[in-house]
Formats: sequence, C-alpha cells, structure tokens
Amino acid sequence: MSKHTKIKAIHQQWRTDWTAAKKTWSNYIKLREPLWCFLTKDARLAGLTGSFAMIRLTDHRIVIDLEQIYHLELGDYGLQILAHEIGHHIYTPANLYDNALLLSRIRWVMAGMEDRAPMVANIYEDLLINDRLQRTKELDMISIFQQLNKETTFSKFWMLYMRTYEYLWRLKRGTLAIDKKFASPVIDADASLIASLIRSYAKNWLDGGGRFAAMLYPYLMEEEDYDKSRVSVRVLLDAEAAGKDAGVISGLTQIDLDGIAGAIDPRTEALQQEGKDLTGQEVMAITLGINLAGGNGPEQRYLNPGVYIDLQQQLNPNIDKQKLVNNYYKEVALPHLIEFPVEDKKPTGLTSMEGTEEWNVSDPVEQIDWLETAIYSPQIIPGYNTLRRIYTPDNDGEKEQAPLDIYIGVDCSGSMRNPVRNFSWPILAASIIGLSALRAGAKVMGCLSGEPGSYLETKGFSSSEEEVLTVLTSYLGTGYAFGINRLKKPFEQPLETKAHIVLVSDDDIFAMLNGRNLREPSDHWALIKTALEHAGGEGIIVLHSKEDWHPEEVQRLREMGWQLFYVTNEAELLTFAAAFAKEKYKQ
Amino acid sequence: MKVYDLIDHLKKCPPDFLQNSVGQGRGKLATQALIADIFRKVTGNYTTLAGEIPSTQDITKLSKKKEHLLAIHLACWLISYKGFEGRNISIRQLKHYFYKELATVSEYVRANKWLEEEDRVEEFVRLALQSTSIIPDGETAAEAADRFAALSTIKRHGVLVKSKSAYDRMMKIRKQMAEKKAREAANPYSRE
Repeated sequence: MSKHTKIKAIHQQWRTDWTAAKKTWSNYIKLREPLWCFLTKDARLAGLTGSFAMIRLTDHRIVIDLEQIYHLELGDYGLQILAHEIGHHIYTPANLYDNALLLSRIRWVMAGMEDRAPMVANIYEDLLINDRLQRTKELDMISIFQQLNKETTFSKFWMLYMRTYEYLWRLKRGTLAIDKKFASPVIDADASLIASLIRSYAKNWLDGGGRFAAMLYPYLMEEEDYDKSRVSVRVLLDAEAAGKDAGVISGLTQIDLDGIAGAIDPRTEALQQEGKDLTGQEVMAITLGINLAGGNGPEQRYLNPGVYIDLQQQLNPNIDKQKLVNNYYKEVALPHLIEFPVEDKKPTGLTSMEGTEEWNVSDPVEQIDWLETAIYSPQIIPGYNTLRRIYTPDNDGEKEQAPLDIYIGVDCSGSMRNPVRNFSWPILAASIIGLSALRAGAKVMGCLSGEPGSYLETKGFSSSEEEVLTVLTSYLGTGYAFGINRLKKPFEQPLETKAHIVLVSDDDIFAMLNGRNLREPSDHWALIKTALEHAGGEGIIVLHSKEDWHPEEVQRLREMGWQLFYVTNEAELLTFAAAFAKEKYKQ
Repeated sequence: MKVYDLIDHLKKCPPDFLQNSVGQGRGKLATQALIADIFRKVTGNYTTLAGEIPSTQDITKLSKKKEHLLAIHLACWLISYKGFEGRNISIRQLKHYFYKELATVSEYVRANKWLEEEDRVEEFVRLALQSTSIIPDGETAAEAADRFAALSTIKRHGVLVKSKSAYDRMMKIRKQMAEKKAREAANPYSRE
C-alpha cells in the first residue's frame, strides 16, 4: 500500500472514530469535524508548527496532520487522540478567557522565563485530559505514549512527564519512563507530587496552574534543558497557539489574587506541611515571593500595562499593540465613567414638507414648485396660481439637552511616564473624561503635547473611541510642557458647537505661557484667553503642583475664566475626573 | 492478596476509626481491645499473648501522639482483612509495624491523608505488606519494593530535604529575575 493510500485509510478510520470520540465526553457535544490535512505542509498553513494536532479556540476547530500521524505510526489511536483534542475544547482550557487566565497564572511563577509559559500550560492541560481519559473514560492512553517513546528523544523533562503518568496510572516503573539514564529519586519525588497535584486539581484546574509551573521550573530554567524539553514534547504541543488571532481578551487588567495565592511550590509545601497544619505565616513563606503590593492604578488592583500587553501578545502574537494599550486604559477607566455634564442646546432637526401655499411675485423664483403648480392648474399665471412648498422642522421642542464637546490636552513632556510601560494617572483621568463624553454622545478632541518637541492630536473633534484613545495613550516624552500653541488650530474661530477645555499638566505650563525656550515665542497668554472664549464652555487646568506656586500667573488665568485644580499626587487625578461633572455641572 | 483489594478495603474504613479515643466508654473506640483482637486474629492465638497486648498505660502514652494512634486504628482495620489470616505473621512483625513503622511515618502524614490521597492509601497498604513480609499477587519482591519506595513519603521527604538547598538557590535567582523585571518596567525614563 502506498503512503498516500495508508493516509487515506487513516483518514477514513478517524472520521469513523470522530463520533465515538465526542461521545466519550458527552452525547450532546456539538463540534465540527476536524480539519483533515493530508500533507504536513497543508497542516503548517493551517497553523500547526510541529505537533500532529492542534486546537483553535477562536473557531472551535481541531486540525489534524495525517501525514505526521502516519509517520509516527499513531493511526490506530484515532479515538484517543480525537478525544484528547475534544478535551481541550470541553475541559481545559475550554475557552479563550480560561486559556488566558491559566497562562497568566503560570507566567507569575515563571517570572523571567515567561516564554516557557505556553508550553507549561499545554503540558498541564494534557496531563489533566489524559488522566481523565485513562482513568475515568477508560481509554488506552498508555499505548500512545509507548508508541511515541519509540521516536522521542528522552530528556529530564520527558522522563519527568512519563514518570508522572506512571504514578497517575499506577504503572510499573519503566512502562513509560523507559530511559534509565534519566531515572533519579528527584524525578520520582517530583513526579509523585505532580501526580498528586493533577488528581487534586482535576476539577478546579485553574487553581493548580501555578503549582504545576513551580514543579516544572527547575526543568526549564536552563536554556539547554528547555531546548531539549521542547524537542521531546514538540509533537504534543497542540494548544500552545490555541488563542491565536482571538483579538483582545477582556477582563485581564486586574491582578489575579487567586492566581498569586496559588503560586506555591508543592515541594516546599510538602516539606512544611507534612504532619501538621500550616499557619498563615508558613503559607506566606511558601508562596513564591510575588509582591502583592506592586499593583497599579486605582486601589493598586491592576497589572502593570507592560505585563498586560506581554500576556495578551503571548496569547495572540498578531494582535495590534495599540489596541491593547487602548483596551487596558479603557478597562481601568470603565468603573469610573462619570455622568457627563449636559447643557441646553437649540435642536437642529431636519425639516420636512408639510404642503404648499401660494407663491408671490416677491418670493424667489426657485421656490416655485412647478409640479404642484401644474397639477393645480394647466394654465400657469405667475403670482396667481403658482405654488411653493412649505417646510417645517420635525422637532417641535424649543430646546434639548446635549453634552458639550470636550478638548482634552495632556502634557506628555519628558517628565511623564510612558503609559505603555508604566501606569499613567494623567492618561487614566483623560480616558475617563474622554470615554464619559463619548458615551454621552459628545465629541472629543484629544491632544498630547510635549513642547518644544512634538505633539499628537485627533483630527478635530471625533466620535471615534479608537481614535481618541489611540492619541491619549500614545507617548512623546519631548519638551517640557503642554504646548499652548496647540489651542490655536481648534479655537481659532468661535466654535459652532460649544466645547469644554481640560488641560492636564504641571507647573511647567507657566513657563510655556511665558514663552520660555521657544524658537518663535508667541503671545501664549492671548492664545489661551482666546481659546477659552471661542470654546464657549468651561476651561479647566489640572496641575500636578502646589497652590501657592506662581500666584500671579494663577490669578491671571482665573481672571480669564480658567479654573485650576491642584493634585499633589497623580492618584488624585482620578478624584478630579469624578469631581469634574459633579461639582461644576450637575443641576 | 491484590493491592487493589486492600486499597478498596482500607478506603471502606469506618469513620469511627479516626476517633482520637482510648477509653472504653460507651460509643468510644477501644484502642487496647482493637490491638488485642488484631494480634489474636492474625496470629491465630486466642489464648495467650497476655504479655504482648499493650497495657492501659502504654495506650495512654500512645495517645499523646494523635496521628500515630489514629494510624494504628487504621492499621487494625486494614489487617482485619481476611487475606492476612494464616500468613504466619509474627507478633514481632506486628509490633514493629505498629509501634515503629507507623510511629515514623505518622510524623510525615496526617491520619486522614491515609484515606484521602490515592498515593497515601497505596503507601499505607504497601507498608503493611512490607512489614508483614507479604508480596502482593502479580508482583515480584523487587517490583513490590520498588513500588513502595516510589510511594514512600519518608523517602520523598529525604530527597526533598537534600535538594532543598538547590531549589532555594533557584528560587533566589527567580526572585532576582522577577525583581529586575519589575524595576525595568517601573523605570519612568525608559523609552520605547
């Protein structure tokens, strides 16, 4: 039989096994049949990168490389392998969020080696699924590993993996862990702890992820060991890229306290726990030293944005980084969105035709409705039987309430932190105000400025959340203050629709107002006065400064109509953003 | 005797056996009577052994180490399995098992774990078999010894203690790497 014929035969058999594989888990599973790739090169195009199967959580698909199945002589194990892949969709990780959460918990433990985390997560999931299939569903998973062992290059990691299965399934030593040169009491001890962990966390598998990672840590720490481990398990890594192309996964900005609590080394736990109850102090001693006080943002509850971005990019390498930054600040801002201040506005509704009336000679000729006139009388006599249309507005309200637009200017000079790498309170405050305004139906113009140097702004007042957040979360780090010149373009003329202006800066703004170090100093005082007048709304400057500094300049601004808010630390910007509506605008 | 049959028998141990009681009051477990019954049943000797049965003072001493006492209760349940009868088990073996082996292993494992954790259940069974020189059905002496060694909490503890210094060094490196990463992330002057 040729290779192609044999592969076709495997395909036929596995298609038959597919229904039985689903029924292994439940009679009610609805999953599409796998994507069968007859050639390895087709499998690569579908996303496989070395393993003979993979799952995609984005479209709930399974991809099978039949050519590799043939080469590894696994054709007789269709039921087991398909049931295993189904297990990834049904049991673990099962969905994109849990997949991300598990990876996040493993990354906590693998600090400094986060690139190993997807492999660790995959192996953990495989142990859980295979144990369930072997012991509960009574499928023969042992034979698959015996077959794989014929081709696998053993390593310490693979030895540990096989020994773990021997413990889990009460197999005689050497049934799977066949290469004696890797046998050691240390591997036995670790395998027995991992087996115990797999059994204990079979139901709440997310809680065991950190512990599992701690067990594998010594086996993956050295680059050489990691490379050898990957060679051994390469064909089994079917869920490493399960979340690829999934987009931004929501709900991951907050620090996972449960995950940190579970970041325990089972070895230390076993040593300290044996024969007694652990005190709280001892539990703390076992955890891997993760600094719980290192949170960011409101109530220090959030991940560092750089850590968040790294996690999301590891889940989905193709994701746009800017989208992640936007999403990060949006998620942190969402619980703090405020009811946006509204003001009375004359409605500008559409007009609609109501009927016709007589057209007089004194009326413009273009107002004659020739059709209605001709219908009225075939003999047209101007001024006598000519008609014109009557239009009335479809909105009979005298006035309506609508939010004013808002201009948000943020100082992005050298002293400001890069919001991608460090949590930025000014950006959070700007995001809260901007998103609140957009939610209320207002338009927002955002401007980052660090001058003399550079600036970035939206194309006028925008309704696009993406455009506004992209500008606000960018980073310049140039110059020393917000460039007052930026107010010239949007407020050169009085606005048709009124807008508020909010500027976030520090006391370097006074130096900018006085024209310090500018190549072409212009009258910034006149500019800022005109901007406020033309905006028509309220003008607020939020300063990270002290009230008694620059009293003359402050007085001058107040006389123009500007209101100044002071914050002594950046966290107070959040309080300002909330107070923005309540104190000044709420009726 | 098959290991799985013994495991099954052990898991069916009544919860009363995990009572920490040595008295002979109503509803209480009588440790002295338990041990006496097991010694007599296993050795087949129902008449003598007066000097071998622990006295009340012995039991009171035992009761100061709760986990050991409870382990003895569980051992009594296990050894009551019919397969242990007629095996020429000596009193010396039983006493060594009850008062030495169980005393040592109880330092490492709480009594309830003997029934709750799969590996501990099997370890308890195999400890009893090893102490009474019984090789389970389907295994050779070497296989039984190897399996017991693989499960032994004491042996594992020894391995973990020996390797602890290496792990401590590793965790120290891990912590340093994590701190370095956190410092780099927090550096306000770092640029893209």
